[in-house]
Amino acid sequence: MSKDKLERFIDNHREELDTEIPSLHIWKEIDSQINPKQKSGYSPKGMTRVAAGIALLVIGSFFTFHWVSSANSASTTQSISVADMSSELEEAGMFYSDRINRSKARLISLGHRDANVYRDLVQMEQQFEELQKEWNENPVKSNDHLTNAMINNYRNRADLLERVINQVERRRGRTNSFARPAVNYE
Amino acid sequence: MAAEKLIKSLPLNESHPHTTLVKDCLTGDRKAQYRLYRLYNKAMFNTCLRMLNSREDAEDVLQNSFVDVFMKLHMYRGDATIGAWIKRIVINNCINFLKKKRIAITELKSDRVASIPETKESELQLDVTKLNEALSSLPNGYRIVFTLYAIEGYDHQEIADIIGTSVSTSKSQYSRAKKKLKDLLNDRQQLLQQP
Repeated sequence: MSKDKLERFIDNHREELDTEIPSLHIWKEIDSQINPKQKSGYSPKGMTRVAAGIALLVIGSFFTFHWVSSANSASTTQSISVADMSSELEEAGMFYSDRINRSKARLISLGHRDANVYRDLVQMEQQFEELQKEWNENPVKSNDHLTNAMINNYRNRADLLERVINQVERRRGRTNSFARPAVNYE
Repeated sequence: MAAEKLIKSLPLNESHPHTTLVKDCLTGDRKAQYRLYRLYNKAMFNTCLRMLNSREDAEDVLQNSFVDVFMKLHMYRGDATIGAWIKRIVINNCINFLKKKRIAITELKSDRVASIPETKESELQLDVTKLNEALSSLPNGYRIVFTLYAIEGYDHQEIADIIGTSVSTSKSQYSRAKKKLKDLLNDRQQLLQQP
């Protein structure tokens, strides 16, 4: 059966129809379900070993707490927050790097040659490298403020590229065609 | 070691893209799992949105579907591409969600659409935004069959199996959905042209 105008339009613009992006927290929910931190379902036979393990853990924690308190002012709660922040940063990095790379490729394919945009991007990338250096030098002392600054830097770069792509495409009389997904169903 | 043995024994089709990624996911590699999610989350989310017409419901089903994907990944045999396999899980979860909410999937009878005038092909002006808006205005039964056939690329036999109806019902529903969609697009077009 031959396709009509509507069906041909859908075939030709299939990837552009996917305009919405799910919230960032969805991955966290999935990750917590497929990679649970604590496994349940201990057998009664193993309970003695578990109890012994807990006892060792309590004793170990007591000495560790004293060692950490005397050697360093960093508290155990800080260690936990560093791990959380690293994970948040890693996830944001993967998410935004993908968006940024796709937008860069799109901008190049559109033949955009405005040196100001590329200069701004390089500047933002340099700022990011400085933040990253600071983070790497002392992650224990790094705080939410630094993490947020790095995530904001990612977001600003992604937003800048997408704004420019929109402007270029509007000028060319096209709508809604930025950020096409690179891969769909192969 | 047991996981490596299991993965080596899987008859995955090496010619498919992302076979290595799937194997990495099976070892419990969190970065690989995130890469697989990132590769398909946007396409699958938009599929959920078209099927369910609600951002909140779409996010719920997307989340549950990817949990299913990773939990059942050892069952993936490479008969279809990983993208098609994931999509089928997403579509099935959307249908189950609609059934749980008792939302009718094939509810419209021919008498309710008899008055829909045929829009002339040449008069249709199409763009992505208008099409997405018009699609979201379609009744559930029309939107779902239209989405599955015209956008997701399933044939009528597959759609009949997915939503539990006959091939002829799927065909007639699709035909009416397409007419209604063109009508909605035409209405919006005329509204915009009014002075």
